[in-house]
Amino acid sequence: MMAKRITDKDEKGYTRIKDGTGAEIGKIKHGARFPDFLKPSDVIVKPSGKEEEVLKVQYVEADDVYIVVSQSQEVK
Amino acid sequence: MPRQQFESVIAQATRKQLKIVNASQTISVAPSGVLNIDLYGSPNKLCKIVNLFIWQQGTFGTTGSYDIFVELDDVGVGISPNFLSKNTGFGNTARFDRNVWFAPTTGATPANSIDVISAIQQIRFDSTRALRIQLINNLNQTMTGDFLVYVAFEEEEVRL
Repeated sequence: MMAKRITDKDEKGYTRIKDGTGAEIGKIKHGARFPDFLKPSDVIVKPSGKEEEVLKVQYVEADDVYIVVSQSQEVK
Repeated sequence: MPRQQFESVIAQATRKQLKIVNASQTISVAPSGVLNIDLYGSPNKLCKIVNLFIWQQGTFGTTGSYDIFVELDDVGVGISPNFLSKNTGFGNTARFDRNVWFAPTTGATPANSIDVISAIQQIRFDSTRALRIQLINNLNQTMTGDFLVYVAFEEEEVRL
């Protein structure tokens, strides 16, 4: 299965979700907590166009904090 | 700073009843690779950084350099990008808090410390904007080891 690609917000502030082919498969309402729908191997596409692959998403219940670890490549 | 002393600093913060998040990661980062650790806080609350502790342990290379950035993701109000860069020996600990910042072995230039402290204190993360701790491998070899990050923070209620 192709990784989901999660792009940053559209003009209305919604976050777009696309499949690996680039087709949009949904949107997340503005204000939703970003990590709620992240999974390892998802790709976050930043406004700059830089892509970051999600390695791990951890929820720390006691502190109500999400930790998202991702990896990318420096463009020089 | 020996690890034992580092851990006692963490314990001391815990006694002050600050929230401590351990965002550590065992990593293998290729040359020019970037590792991002993002922290998202509670909805309707702002998380205010009080202390940030970074410790690295492993074969991070003895030549070349690597960069560590701390910033609020996508907003860019973080620390000067070069505050810890180009130091062959970052040492094994850096600590930031209200009064003091130090890299006890070799490391960042002390003259940068004031900027670092004030920048840290400006950082608030929440449920939509992440505190980002970023490690960039500028070595010509893969970095492998543990990148330990502890963040001590307080929460401020947000009135809607």
